[in-house]
Amino acid sequence: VRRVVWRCFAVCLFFAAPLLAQDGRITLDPPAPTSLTPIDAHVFVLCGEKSHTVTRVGNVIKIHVEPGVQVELCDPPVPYLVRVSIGTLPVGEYRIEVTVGALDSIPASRAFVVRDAAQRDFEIHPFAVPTNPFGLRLHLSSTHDAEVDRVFVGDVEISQANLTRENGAYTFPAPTRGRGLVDVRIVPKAGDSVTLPGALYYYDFGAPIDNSVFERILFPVLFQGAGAHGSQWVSEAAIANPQPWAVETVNHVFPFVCIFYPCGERLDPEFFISFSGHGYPHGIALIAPRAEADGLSFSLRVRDTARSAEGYGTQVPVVREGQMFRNTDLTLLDIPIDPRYRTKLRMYAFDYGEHGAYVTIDRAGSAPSESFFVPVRRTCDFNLCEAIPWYGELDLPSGNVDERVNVYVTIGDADSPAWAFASITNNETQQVTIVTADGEGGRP
Amino acid sequence: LPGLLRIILVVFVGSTAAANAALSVFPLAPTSTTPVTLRVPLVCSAATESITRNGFDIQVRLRPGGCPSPPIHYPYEVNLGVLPPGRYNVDLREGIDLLHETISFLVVQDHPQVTVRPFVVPVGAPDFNIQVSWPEHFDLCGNGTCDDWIIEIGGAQLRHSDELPHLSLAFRAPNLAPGLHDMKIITTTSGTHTFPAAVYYHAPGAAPDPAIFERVLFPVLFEGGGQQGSQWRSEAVISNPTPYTIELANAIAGPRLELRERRVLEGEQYPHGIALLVPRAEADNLAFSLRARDVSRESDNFGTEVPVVRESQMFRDSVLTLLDVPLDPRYRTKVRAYAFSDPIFLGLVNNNDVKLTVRRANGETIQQFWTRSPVCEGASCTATPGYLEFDLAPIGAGERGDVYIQFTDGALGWAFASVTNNETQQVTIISPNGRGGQP
Repeated sequence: VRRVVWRCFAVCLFFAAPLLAQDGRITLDPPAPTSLTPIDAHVFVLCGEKSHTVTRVGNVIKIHVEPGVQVELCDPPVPYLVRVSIGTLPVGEYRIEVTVGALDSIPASRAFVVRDAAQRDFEIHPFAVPTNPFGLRLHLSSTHDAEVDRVFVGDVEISQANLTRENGAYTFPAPTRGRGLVDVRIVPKAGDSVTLPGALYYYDFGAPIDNSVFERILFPVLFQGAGAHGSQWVSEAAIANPQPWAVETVNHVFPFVCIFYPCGERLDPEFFISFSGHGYPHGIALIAPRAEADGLSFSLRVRDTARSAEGYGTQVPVVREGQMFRNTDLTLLDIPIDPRYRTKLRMYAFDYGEHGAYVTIDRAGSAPSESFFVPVRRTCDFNLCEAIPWYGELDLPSGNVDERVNVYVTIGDADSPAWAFASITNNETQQVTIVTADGEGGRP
Repeated sequence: LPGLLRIILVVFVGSTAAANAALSVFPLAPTSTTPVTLRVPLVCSAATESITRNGFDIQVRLRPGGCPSPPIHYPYEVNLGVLPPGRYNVDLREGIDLLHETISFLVVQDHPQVTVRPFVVPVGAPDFNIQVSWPEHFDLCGNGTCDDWIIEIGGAQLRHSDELPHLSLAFRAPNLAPGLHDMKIITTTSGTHTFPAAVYYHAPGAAPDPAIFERVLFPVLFEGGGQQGSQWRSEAVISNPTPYTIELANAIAGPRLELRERRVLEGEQYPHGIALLVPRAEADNLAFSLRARDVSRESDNFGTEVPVVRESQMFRDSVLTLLDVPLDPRYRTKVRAYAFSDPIFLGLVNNNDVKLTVRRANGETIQQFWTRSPVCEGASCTATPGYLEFDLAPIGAGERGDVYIQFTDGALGWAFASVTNNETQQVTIISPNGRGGQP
C-alpha cells in the first residue's frame, strides 16, 4: 500500500509542475459566466478526489482538493474531473487558485470575468475593447430611445464633440485604458444617471487570451490547391457582422494586406467578406469575443473548381465552441466505406489535444470493431496557438459496396473542445459528401 | 366625459392585452440553475409590483403604465429568478384584473446529485428498467451492491431488476401516476436522503411537456421521384448508445429506443419535416445522421448531409441568416423554413407569419411574407413544424445573396437552402449560422 501511495504522490507531483506552467486545467461551466448564471469550476487532478473545499476571499476563489488514492486513476495518470460549485457571482474579475493535497503551492490558477446580465435601460457594445483601441467606436443604445447628456467610461468623460447620434444610438471613440473591466455611467437628459457595471472589458492585445471573454470559432479547412484526378479545391468562406457596432477579434482568418493595426481583426458595422481561404488546410479558429460572437455569421464550402459546372461544392460547418464536444467521445454515424469512395476522417482538438486520437470503427456487427491510434500535430507561434487546433486525420479502410460504419473518436482531455468530420469523395466524379459528429453518448 | 373615455380606453386596451396574452416561459425548459423569465405580451407598458412565491405557487402583480399611441404589441419580461425543481403555477394579474393569466411549468433538476436514468418513465410499463447512480456516496455501497439501501420513488419501494443483475443499481420502475416524483434513499449508515423531482412519469399518448421533451427536427424524411429522373431517398440513422431504454413522446421511430440500439429509418414520408420528441435529459446522448441522396445517380456521390437539428440549434426571437447563397441560373435554389408553435404561443398575433429577406451583394433587398396554413391540430403540432418553401429567383452566373428569415415572436424556427444543379442534380446545402440578423 505504501508503495502505491508513494507512486501516486510522485505522479501527482510530476503533473503539478506542468499545471503551474500551463495556467490551466481549470475550466468553467458555463464558459462565459454572467451575473445570473450559477458557475461550476471543473478542476482536473490526478489520482481521483477524496474531498474538496471552496473559500472566497474577495475576488479570489480558493479550491483545495484532497486527492484520492484510486490506483486505477494513477497508473497511467488520467485527469479526473472535480466539479466544484461556486454559485452565482456579481459582475467582476475573479481568479481561481487550486491547491492539491499537502502541497503548499498553487498548482493551477486561472482568471475569469463575470459579465453583467441584468436588464438595463442602456446597452453598450462591443464588450471587448483593446487597451489601445485605435479609433474603435463604441455603440450606446437605449431601450426607451432616451437622449444622453454625458457618458463616462470609468472616470473618463467622453467629450460632447465625440458623441455622435446615429439611428437612435450614440457612438463615440473608445478611450485608451489599462487592462480590465470598467463601468460605464450614462447621464440622460431626463432622469437619473445609469451605471452599467463591468460594461466593457479592456484586453491587452499581446497578453494571453481570457477564454471567459473570447471563444474560438473553427474553420475546419481553409485551403486552395490541387487534389486527386485533376481536382482543384477551393475553400469559399464568408464572414458577416450585421451589427451596427464593430467587433474586434483577436486574429483574422481571411487574406489581408496589413500596414497598420488593426490588421483584419476589426469587423466594422455591417462588414461582409467573401473570400477564398488558404494557408490552413488543417483548420484555424477565429477568436471572437463571446458577447458578440452569436451576432456574427459564417459560411464555408469546399468546391472543386475544375468541375465548377457540376455543382456548388459541399458545405463544411463553421463550428462555434458551443457546438464542439468536451469530455466525451465523438460519434459519426453511418459513414460509407464503399470502395468507390475515399473516406477520410479529420479530427480537431484545442488546448489539451496533444496526446493523439483514438478511433474505433464499428462495423455494426458485420465484423469485429477496429481501433486505431492517430497522432496529431499543429504548427503555431505564441498567441496564435490558441487559434490552431491539434489535428489528426485517418483514411478509413475500404469495405464492401454500400457498406457503412459508425466511427467513435476520443481526442483531447480535460474539457478540450473537440470536433471531427468525415469526407466521402467519389473516386471518379470527386463529389464530396460529409458526415459531421453528433451526439455525446459515445460508443454503445 | 374625459373620465368615461378614459375608462372605455382602459377597458379596450386591457381587453386587447388579455386577448393577446399568452404567457410563456424562457427558457423553454428551465432547470434549477437557470433564471426563469415570464414573458407577458402587452400593448401598454407595465412594471412589476410584486412577486410572491408560496411553495410552487407564484403570484405576479403588475402595475399598469402608460399606453403608447398607437398601441404597440410588445413582450414584457418578469424575472422569477432561479427556482428549485418542481411544477409551478403562476397567477399573473395587472391592476384591477384587467389582465389575468395563469401558466403552469416545470423546472427540472440540473446536475442532480443522484441521477435516475432514464429520467422519463412510461406510465404502466411493468418491465421498464431504471438505473440509479449516486457517485458521491458510492463508497456507502461497500462492495458496490448497495443491498442494504432502500430506495423509494413516489413512495413505492424499488425492486432490483431480474433482467440486469450485473447492474447493481438497476430496478424495475414502479407504476406511478404521471408527473414528477421525488426519490428517497434510506441507508443504514447515513440515514434518509430525499431528492426532489428525480424522475418524470409520462403517460403514452399524452401531450408532451416542452420542459421534459425536446424536439429534434429531421428536416426531410422522404422517398420519391424528383425532377429529371431523380429518385430521392432520405437515409436516417438514430443511435441510442446508452445502457437504458429511452421513451419517446411520438412514434416516428417507434415508441421507444431500446438500449444500445441503432435504428435505420426507412420508408418514412415526412417531406416537410418531423420532430422526434426525445426526453431532454437523454437527448444529448443520442446520435443522429441524415443524408438526402439521389439513388438514380448513386454511382456519382453519396448524397448530401442534411443537419438533424436540436432545439438549441434552432432560432427563437432572432433572425436566421443563410450567408452566401448562390442565385445562379444554372442552379435551383430553394429555401425551406420550419417553425414550431407551441400551444403556449397560439394566442400570439400573426403566429404563422414568416418574413424572408434576400439581400444581394449590391445591397438590394427583396422581402417576402408568408402566412403558413395550419397543418396540424392540438398535441401533434408539437412534432409537426409549420413548413414553408420559397424558390429564390436566379440573378446571374456566379451571383450570390444573403437570406434572412424572421419567425414570429416566440416561435422556434430553422431553415436551410438547397442549391441543385439543373444538369447533374448535385445538391449543396446551406444551413444557418449566426443570430445577428440583417445589417
